[in-house]
Amino acid sequence: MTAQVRGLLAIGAASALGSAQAGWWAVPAVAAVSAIAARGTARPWLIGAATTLGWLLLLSWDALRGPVGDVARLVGAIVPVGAGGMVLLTLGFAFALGWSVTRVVNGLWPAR
Amino acid sequence: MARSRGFHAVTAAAVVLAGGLLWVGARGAGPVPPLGPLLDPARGAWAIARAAERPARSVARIPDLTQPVRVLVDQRDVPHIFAATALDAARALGWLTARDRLFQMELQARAGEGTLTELVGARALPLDRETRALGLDRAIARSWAALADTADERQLLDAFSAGVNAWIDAGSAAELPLEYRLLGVSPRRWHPSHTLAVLARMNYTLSAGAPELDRLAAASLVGTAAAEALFPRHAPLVEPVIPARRAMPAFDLPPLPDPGAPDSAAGALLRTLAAVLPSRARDAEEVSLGSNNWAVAAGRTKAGRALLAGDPHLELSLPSIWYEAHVVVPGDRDAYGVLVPGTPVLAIGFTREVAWSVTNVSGDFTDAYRETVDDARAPTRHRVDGAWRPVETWTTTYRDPRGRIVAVDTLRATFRGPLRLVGDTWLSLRWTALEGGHELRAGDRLARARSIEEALAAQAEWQAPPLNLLLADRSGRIALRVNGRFPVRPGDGRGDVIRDGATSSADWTGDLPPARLPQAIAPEQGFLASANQESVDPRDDDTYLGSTWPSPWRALRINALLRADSAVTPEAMSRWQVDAGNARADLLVPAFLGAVRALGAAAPASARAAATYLARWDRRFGPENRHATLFEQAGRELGDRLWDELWSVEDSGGRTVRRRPRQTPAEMVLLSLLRQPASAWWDDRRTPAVERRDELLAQALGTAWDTLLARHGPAGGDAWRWSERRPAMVPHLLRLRPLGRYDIAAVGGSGTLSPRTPGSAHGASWRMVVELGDTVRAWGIYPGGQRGNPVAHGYADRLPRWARGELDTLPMPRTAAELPAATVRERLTLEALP
Repeated sequence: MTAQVRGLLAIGAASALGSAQAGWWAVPAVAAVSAIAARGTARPWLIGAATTLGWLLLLSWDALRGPVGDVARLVGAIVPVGAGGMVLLTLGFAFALGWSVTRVVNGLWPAR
Repeated sequence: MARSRGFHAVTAAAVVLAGGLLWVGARGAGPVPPLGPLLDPARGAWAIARAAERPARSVARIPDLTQPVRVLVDQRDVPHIFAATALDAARALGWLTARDRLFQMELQARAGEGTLTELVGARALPLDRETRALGLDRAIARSWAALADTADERQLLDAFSAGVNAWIDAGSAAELPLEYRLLGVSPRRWHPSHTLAVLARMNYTLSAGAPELDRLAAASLVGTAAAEALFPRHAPLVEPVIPARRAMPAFDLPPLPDPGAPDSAAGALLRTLAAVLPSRARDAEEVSLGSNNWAVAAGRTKAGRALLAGDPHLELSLPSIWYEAHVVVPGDRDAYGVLVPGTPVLAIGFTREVAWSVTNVSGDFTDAYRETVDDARAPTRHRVDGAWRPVETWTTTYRDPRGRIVAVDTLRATFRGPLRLVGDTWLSLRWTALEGGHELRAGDRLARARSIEEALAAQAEWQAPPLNLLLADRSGRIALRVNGRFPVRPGDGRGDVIRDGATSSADWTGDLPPARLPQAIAPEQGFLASANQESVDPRDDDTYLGSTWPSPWRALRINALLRADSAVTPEAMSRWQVDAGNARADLLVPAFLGAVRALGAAAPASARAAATYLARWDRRFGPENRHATLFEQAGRELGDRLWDELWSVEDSGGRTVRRRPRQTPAEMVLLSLLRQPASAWWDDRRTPAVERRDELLAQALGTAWDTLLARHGPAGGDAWRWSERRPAMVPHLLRLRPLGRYDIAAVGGSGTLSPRTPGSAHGASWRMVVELGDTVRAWGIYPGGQRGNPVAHGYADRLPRWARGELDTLPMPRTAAELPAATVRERLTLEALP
């Protein structure tokens, strides 16, 4: 397993656990901490993918315990983006948060 | 290493994106709720999936429980609560209803106290403004302040609240209702007065019609004499709630005077009055709906046991209006029924000894007073009997969910009630619903009654809204009391006029004493029925109770069914609740057919074709029926032509606009007119010809035929099916369409026992049949389910059976052990919080 994959899994797990414990703010927080830990060299797409993975894990956990498809259909009709759109919106939100926060931290890090 | 210009551009874009996401995530934007808490798979909308199923066994904690409470939730999601004390049972009920219906409870409480804007935002401002202008919020505060700490009602409210708050405090993210996540708000803690607010909201919902308005609107166009005849004080079609001394039904059909000269003063008065009365009372469509209940004494039932049926008709919603529960407290109560979520008492239900159900009384419980004030713009005093009395003035603030001020109003009240400026007139409103009562205590005591007498005594404290309380008991007897507070007016006693506030002689002189309330106990005829019709035959008792009695079509039908059956069974009671027959059609269809027959070849061809089709109708309103569609269309066409004198003509930007009347006369008034074939009312003044009865009826039928052919294709096609033309619907409380249910094929129409009007969600909100014998047997259903979670099976699982007219058997175990294990979905133990 490459370091990149290990990082992705670790950040994804942190994102999932953080969200379960503290709510959605865990996603930008985990992304920011990861970017800071990488001293401005974190790859935004990788962090974004990791936070998306974290929420995907949570969604899978929901799906194991209840009718997630029904939630997607109902809430997707209310929002209204459709069932598939609801899933994409959720995962896209996590990705965009992870990517953009990482990119901001990288941009603020002093140039070497 | 220097960074490129591109790097900085991407960074800038990322800053904007991150900032935007964090903002929309936390605060939302415009109609978009905060996306973070909504999309979060752990705590957001997705989480409700995890709460769709509940564990088979669980333990929860509630403060101050004296002993553990055992709750078995059956397959229909109904909790059977076994508690040591009534207050423990109330705590459990609070916890359980919060778990299933918390959002609905908060919504109804806020609607009652006028703080909906704090939950759903500024769009609810008009509703809140009306609620507060009517003084409902202050009435709730007064009622709460009047309850001493030791009062049994206070203890009941406190106990219920403790249960609700225990659930809120411990509630998991998954159990939080979806609506909170969609609105981006958190539940507020339940205060005991919130239960009073829920009751106030129910009072508002049941506020009956305002006869003053209908009569004034008509008088402004056709004069007072005609208006009095079009909107008569007594129903001309007599089938009263209390059995009459003469044979029923009776037709007291006086001739209608021709349209007279407009009464301009009535028009001005109408605009004034329409602004101060509760808007529900202005909503004419409501009055034609209502509820049914009927009971049969043991002597007229096949099994020799009393039977009782009830089906309140309300604006259906999901989550459902009612919550079903069974409460067992040894030595105190063993009661089953439905309650309004947010309240701890069963509104309709039964014990092992007594069953009860209620319908609304279409009486008159509001009066408006024209006040003489000291300052036409900002009065501080008003004159009564030559002396000045203070006008109370205060400001009230409306806030949005974030606490920002949405609006501020200055409100006023006299000793009579809220004071409002309408045009250049200050009017105060007196309304029984604003003057307190002990409905909770009355409801709580009813659950402990062991006989009709005990039940009637328990309900003596009930004030508002007045209800037709129907009872049956295990001894085989039945009873009905028109129950509640009926103000006694001075003079002729009528309440359908605006009174002069400058004199105290215009004020109510008291209330109708309990002994004068219309009631029937163990009537000789062996059955009783109410369907919101006039309470008493005026030939038996002319005491003023109101003057907005709806046409008694449902009362006619159920009484006909009851008279024809002297060996009634529970199955018949259940069947009648969805009976497709219609007394209205029975009386009006012959009029259409007779008119076409009388005209013969002179009738339009379309009318002759329509008459041939209509003659084949069995006059039933089943979902598959095609003929009902023609009858209803013909009725609409007839109404438009017949009551053309009541259409108002207004100038709208230089254009003449004709407006439909706010309310046309009740169809029972049409029966009078049918006996006057040459009355001026039959002439449609928009046409050069002078029509008489038969011409107008034939025209209406013919036009209806042509209209339906053009719209829906050949007669009898699928598009003519009644279920297509008037389906039932059960919208969500917030009108979120994906969470509601629409296009439901079910029996029912205007005037059937299961009524339905176009574009309306009104319908039978709970159907119940009870047989009281050595063992109580009961059946019931409502259109929805016990759960508030829209992805739970129990959200709307009963709807298909309700639509088919089926009832579920209601199990009533004496002990937890009596409920068969196979029927238990969940075992819950509620323990005291250490």
